[in-house]
Amino acid sequence: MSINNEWIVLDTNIWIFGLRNLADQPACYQLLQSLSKLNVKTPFQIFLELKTNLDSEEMKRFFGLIHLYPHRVELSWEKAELNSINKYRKLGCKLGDAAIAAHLETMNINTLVSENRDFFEEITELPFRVLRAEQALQELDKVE
Amino acid sequence: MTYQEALKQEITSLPPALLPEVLDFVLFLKIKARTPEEHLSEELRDVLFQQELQALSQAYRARLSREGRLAQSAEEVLAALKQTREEIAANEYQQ
Repeated sequence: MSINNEWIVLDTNIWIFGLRNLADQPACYQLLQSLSKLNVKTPFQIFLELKTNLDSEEMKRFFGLIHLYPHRVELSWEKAELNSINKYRKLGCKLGDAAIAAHLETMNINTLVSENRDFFEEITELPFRVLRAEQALQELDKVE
Repeated sequence: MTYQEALKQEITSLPPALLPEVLDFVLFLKIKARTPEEHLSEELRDVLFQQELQALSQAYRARLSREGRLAQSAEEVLAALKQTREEIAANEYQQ
């Protein structure tokens, strides 16, 4: 399994830290710069979170940005499935994290890139792995 | 009936709470239909992407700076994102 040849999900914090582009956290911006080498799906929950953080002009730019790679970056308008959310709630996920996990399951995603591993580290039965931006970059570099 | 007429008719019968979602989707489709990006060379697409990413980042940073939020710590940003996640999920998946 490698992010070089699979669909992945970038958590909201990767997009937000990336756009913040802070000197002491370069990995998220570098990962966004590498979007042309990735295959990224954006679940509805993450889209809604981005929309809450970006204003309308920034959202238009975001749409324009992902439209440059229509075959590599997909936006989903589907809500997460309630049965699946409930399953992850029973495993100990908070409602929001359960929605993300449910989206990943429905989309058959094996890798979530996130800077917040607290969300999932207490839960051992998740059917996907969680990589930090730095780890994702390292995995990407392995093939180049 | 044209598509425009059908759309107008259907939209008027939608619950107002769903209208922001419709607007998002229309905006997305509008941008998708705007330019024939399929015909861009890979090199030009990459250059455009890097420029657009930088521009979006600069615009976002400038707004955060105006709002006094650019200096927030990573922990503060993560905490705010966590809270947003739970609020949105509670709204979308009320049980």
